[in-house]
Amino acid sequence: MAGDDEDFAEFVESALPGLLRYGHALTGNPHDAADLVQTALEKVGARWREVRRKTQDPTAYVRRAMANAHISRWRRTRRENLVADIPERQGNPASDPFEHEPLWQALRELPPRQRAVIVLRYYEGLSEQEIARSLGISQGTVKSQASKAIASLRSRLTVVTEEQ
Amino acid sequence: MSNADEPDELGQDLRRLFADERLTVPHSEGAGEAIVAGARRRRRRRHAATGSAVATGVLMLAGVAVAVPQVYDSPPHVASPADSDDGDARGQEPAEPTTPEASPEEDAADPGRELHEQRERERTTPRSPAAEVEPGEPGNGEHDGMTFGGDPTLGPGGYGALRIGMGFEDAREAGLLANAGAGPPEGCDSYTLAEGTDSVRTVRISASTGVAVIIASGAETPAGAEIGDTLDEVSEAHPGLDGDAGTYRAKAAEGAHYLFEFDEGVLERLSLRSDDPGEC
Repeated sequence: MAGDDEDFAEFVESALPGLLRYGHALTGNPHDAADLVQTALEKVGARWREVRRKTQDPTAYVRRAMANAHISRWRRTRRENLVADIPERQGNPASDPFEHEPLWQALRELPPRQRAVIVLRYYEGLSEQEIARSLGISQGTVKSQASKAIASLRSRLTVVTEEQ
Repeated sequence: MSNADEPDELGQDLRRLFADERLTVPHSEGAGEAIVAGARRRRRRRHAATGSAVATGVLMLAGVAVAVPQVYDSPPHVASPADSDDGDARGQEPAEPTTPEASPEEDAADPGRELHEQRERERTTPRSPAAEVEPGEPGNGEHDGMTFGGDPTLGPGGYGALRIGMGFEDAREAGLLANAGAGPPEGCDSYTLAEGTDSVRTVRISASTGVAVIIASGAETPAGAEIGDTLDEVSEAHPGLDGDAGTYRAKAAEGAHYLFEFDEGVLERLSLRSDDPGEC
């Protein structure tokens, strides 16, 4: 087990900065990114030997686990929020480094799965087929989610441009 | 992926945005080490025959979240209840990756082994039902966060001196927060505890209603529910769980509740939450 730990530690060391970045793109904020990366890595590390045996690219493996975890956590949290009747959260755009980035702001409005499709496509550079496999959905759904997301981004960007 | 919808310009903008260096999330030096320790801890829980074996030698993440608010005070984006364009995503459970080569969750739970482990734990680790530690029981709150039989406890009203609903300033003045230098929450912000993150991973504080969410790492509820438990174990410790589909609530002290989030039948996240979490 000590060897496994060492191997996993090396992997974490090299993959952590990239995974945190990816988590930031996926979740839209660094706090949730850190939370998501930690949970995903711990789970993968708990069975590192099996993961190593199964995949040549553990980083891609962790990224996909993160995308799925993010989507399902959002569902859970939303359910919790409905139960608790939490008022809509107020943002804090003043401290957001992407405050003046209309595209980032537009991404914020996307539901997590649409955002995940966009991130997998434009951050990871995956094909429609690969995205479908990663998220366990059909290619048709990937297509429809992507085009909804793009349409939504376009319309929000148009609104922003008109407001300025 | 080339089709008529291919958004050339928007696609380029997205690629540029995702390459932006401001996406970088700093982390502390010990973060990697703590993740490795967290993984070891999870592995031990999976294989442990008794609960007591995991109570010692536990290290957890020290720092991913610590470093964050100092450079970026954005409130955690907890959820987007306003999202209305979920389309066909709504109502579908998220599927796990099905790639034969890489399937992050497919072997997470070998049902037979899990069951075996569960029985093993049930036989060797008797649990005290929640009824023995009534939320709000006189004097009980004062003992929150103390160590009972190994693991520190989360709840029912807070964690140690940190209470649900406590204001940021009070928490900072009491010396409870590690990254208090980051300043008070604007909206909702995440903090870590001065004592480290062995027991509590993150605390979310709302500007308007104070300490709103305390997320456990190694801490367990007074009734003995902790990360890595099965649903049966948590139900036994907290009879009358409310919820479904992997997310369950249980009453804690007045004005607070526990949230148990399961993944593949195993408790993945445990938090104590205010019934009035403000912006969090």
